[in-house]
Amino acid sequence: MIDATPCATVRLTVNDRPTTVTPRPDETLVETLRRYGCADVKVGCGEGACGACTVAVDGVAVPSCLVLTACCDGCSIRTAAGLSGDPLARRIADALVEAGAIQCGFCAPGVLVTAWCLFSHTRNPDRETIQRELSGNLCRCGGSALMVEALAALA
Amino acid sequence: MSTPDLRWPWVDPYVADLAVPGMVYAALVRSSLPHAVIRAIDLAPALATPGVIAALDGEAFAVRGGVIHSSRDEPVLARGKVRYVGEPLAVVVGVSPEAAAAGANTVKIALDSLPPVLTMTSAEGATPLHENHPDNVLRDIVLEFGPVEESFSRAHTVFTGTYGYGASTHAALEPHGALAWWRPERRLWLWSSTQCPHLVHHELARLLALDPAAVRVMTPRVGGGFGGKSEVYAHEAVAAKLSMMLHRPVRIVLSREEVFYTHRGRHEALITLRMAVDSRHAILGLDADILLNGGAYAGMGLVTSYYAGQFMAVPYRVESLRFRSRRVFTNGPPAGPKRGHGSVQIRFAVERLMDHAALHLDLDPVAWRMALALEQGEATVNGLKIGSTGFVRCLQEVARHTEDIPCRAGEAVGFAGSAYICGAAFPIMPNRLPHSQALIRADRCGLFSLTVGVADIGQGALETLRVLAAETLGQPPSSVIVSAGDTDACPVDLGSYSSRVTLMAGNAVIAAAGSLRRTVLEAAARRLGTRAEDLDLLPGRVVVRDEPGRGMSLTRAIARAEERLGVVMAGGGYTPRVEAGSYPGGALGPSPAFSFSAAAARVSVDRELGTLVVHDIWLAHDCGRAVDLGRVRGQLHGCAIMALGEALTEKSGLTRGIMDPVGFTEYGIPTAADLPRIHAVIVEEPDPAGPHGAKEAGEGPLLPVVPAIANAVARAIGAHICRIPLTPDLLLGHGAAGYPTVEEAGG
Ligand code: FES
Ligand code: FES
Repeated sequence: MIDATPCATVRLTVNDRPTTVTPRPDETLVETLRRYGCADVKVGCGEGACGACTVAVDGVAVPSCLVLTACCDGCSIRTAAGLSGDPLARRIADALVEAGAIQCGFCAPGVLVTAWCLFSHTRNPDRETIQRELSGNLCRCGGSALMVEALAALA
Repeated sequence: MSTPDLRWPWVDPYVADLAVPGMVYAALVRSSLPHAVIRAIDLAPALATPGVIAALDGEAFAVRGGVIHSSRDEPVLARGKVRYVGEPLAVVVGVSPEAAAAGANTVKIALDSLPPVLTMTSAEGATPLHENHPDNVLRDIVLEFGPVEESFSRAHTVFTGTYGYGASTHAALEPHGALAWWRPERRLWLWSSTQCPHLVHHELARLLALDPAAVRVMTPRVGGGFGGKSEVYAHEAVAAKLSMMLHRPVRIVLSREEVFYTHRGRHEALITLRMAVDSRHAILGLDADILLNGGAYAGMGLVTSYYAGQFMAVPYRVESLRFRSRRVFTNGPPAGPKRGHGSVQIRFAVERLMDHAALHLDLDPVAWRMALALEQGEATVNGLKIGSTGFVRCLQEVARHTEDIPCRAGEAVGFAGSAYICGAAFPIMPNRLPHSQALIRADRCGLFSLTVGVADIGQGALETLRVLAAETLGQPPSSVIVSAGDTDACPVDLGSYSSRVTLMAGNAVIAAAGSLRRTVLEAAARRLGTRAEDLDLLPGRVVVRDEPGRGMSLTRAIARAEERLGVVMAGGGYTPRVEAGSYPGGALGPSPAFSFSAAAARVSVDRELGTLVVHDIWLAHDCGRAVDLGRVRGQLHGCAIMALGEALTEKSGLTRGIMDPVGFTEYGIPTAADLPRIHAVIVEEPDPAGPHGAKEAGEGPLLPVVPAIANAVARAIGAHICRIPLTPDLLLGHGAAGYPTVEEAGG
């Protein structure tokens, strides 16, 4: 759980690998993750509006540019790359790709994490839920409608 | 560089993901005033900041930038004057991005403010931005085709409207970035998030006074462009310069705010349009006065200025045509090419005025457009030749799908049509050389390795080229591997702009693959004791056409060819064979082929609340031949959604001289929750100039969507719609702030 009380030394489990980091007090989770090699976590806006930086913190999809690393002590973090062996994530990615929903791919890691969290918590989300959940992930290439279609077909 | 599976782009690095040992980080310092004389720039405090290792200002660059040679007016870093808030003034390099940013914050800049030009209607006659443009007009263009005065005098009705089109920006999800590395062997490597590596290659060499042979430009994955990554920018040039100075790799990635300042988005436009219609409802003449807000620098604005008028008539038959087009300088970020470059604004005006005329004349809007459609083999009065057209079919499709839709009060369906180029017939840097080239090599393992200079910015260019090569070779696409994105390794391609790649690079690929096919078949023919003409290339096999039992495996045929030739490869190029108009600007407009689109939109409007809901968009597009159906569909969706944003919510402008907004939270890109149902219909009318008949699908489909929505709104509320975006104040009838009173008069 993200905890508002900041820590100087933060223990994180990133894609199953435990690490300890000492972030700046104002350091965001996306900065930390990218510094530690998670280049799959993208930065599109840095203000919580595009979802490119979405990661799962203890199973909850959050824009990591809005989370302070100092508040993540003890959290388990999963990024898109950390989902590569996961069968559900693979099904989601295949569905998105098959639907032609992915063009430049920059939104894709964030979309994958959002969809994976949604499907992990809700077995059969309806169309509206999918739309609502995906509304935090901008796809400027215009894949959103195709993504919703693909995910609705998965549900 | 090679692309194992182009459908999974995100697993490969984008420029911000690249790192090179010893890399340092650059941050730009930007202007805080819209118009000012630079009195002094003091870099000393930055240089004293811990972690900062270098800083530069505009004095470091001797020449001005600009991809169009006749209008180079943009310093890499401002010199003498600043012309918009956000203009790069200096750059600071640090050992970490934080150090660079901290240093950039300390740079002391003394500016003497000048009166800013904040609106395009006040630009002419205001304080000049550039000495060589005392009237603040980039070029005053007047072109006339056919007997305009006579056409208007013969008119039964003349319709007039004044239309305002708001600025918007590309907002590709990946921010621009570059990584430059001046190598020990005294060559410059630059990775950049660009649509036009070839332009960057040559323009960068010019800016840095380097031999182009000493410059290598590479594109990793590019996260969208839409026109916004087609010029050469300060961040690319400063990274390169600093790397040469420091002998270290320098990376710079723009923040979202900086991307908004970099802009080059849709020009704000004010268009007064007159249309002469005769008693049989033919359009005798179109006459437009076009004012474009160019922002502070020219960029590709000359092209915009011409495109704004040149595409006024297509897809319709119009007897005569005249336009005056002026792109004015104002103290805002430069406008430039955004998807549908230059023709989106005029399309809105023409399609709106036509819809107004159709209502006045009691004509069915679709049937009238069909009756006016240019036919195959026809040319517009300004010389644009139509080699193929599926326009009528596109109109039929959207009409068929909307036939039985009941509309309640406040609800309506609107229609619009359009055409777009498949590449510009003439290059940005004038020369007669091929626009696209391709190399292909057959490997003894049975793979074909295709190398092109194309930049795939997410539109699926490389996948399209792979399919075209595979088709030519009679093999499955999986047997073709595509490499791109490196000017050292790849032959020239002019870039991903003006929807040129499918047609131009596609033709080059087909030429190369066709020649390779002959080489392989000839080698097999020698071995089989027959003639190459009598052989067929099937997946994995070469067979004698009339004796299907006789043949050899493809790998053996390739091996035979390798034995004979040493290496089995072929190249191909494409140079458009299209004539320019014999008038100034006649090179801007002609294209080897035109794509066509039609759109319908169903909307409902609540006049009391000023709210507008777009329920459905039907979008039919003639792409010649869909080389990759999924990709074409994706492009249609992308165009529909980008047009929707542009029509309804997205707006870039100046508030007190500052670009506004500069973040996604306010900018208003449609999200998954805001979308109408999008019905994409692909129409295929092969063009003789297209590779296997194909035409573009990346930009043209955007054009009819904005006017279709506006036409639907106009019909729903029975009012004139003369402005984009369709903001609540407009729908509430609070008029057109910032624009003159708008009137459409049929008479
Ligand atoms: S980068 Fe975090 S939401 Fe856009
Ligand atoms: S695929 Fe480009 S932003 Fe979604």
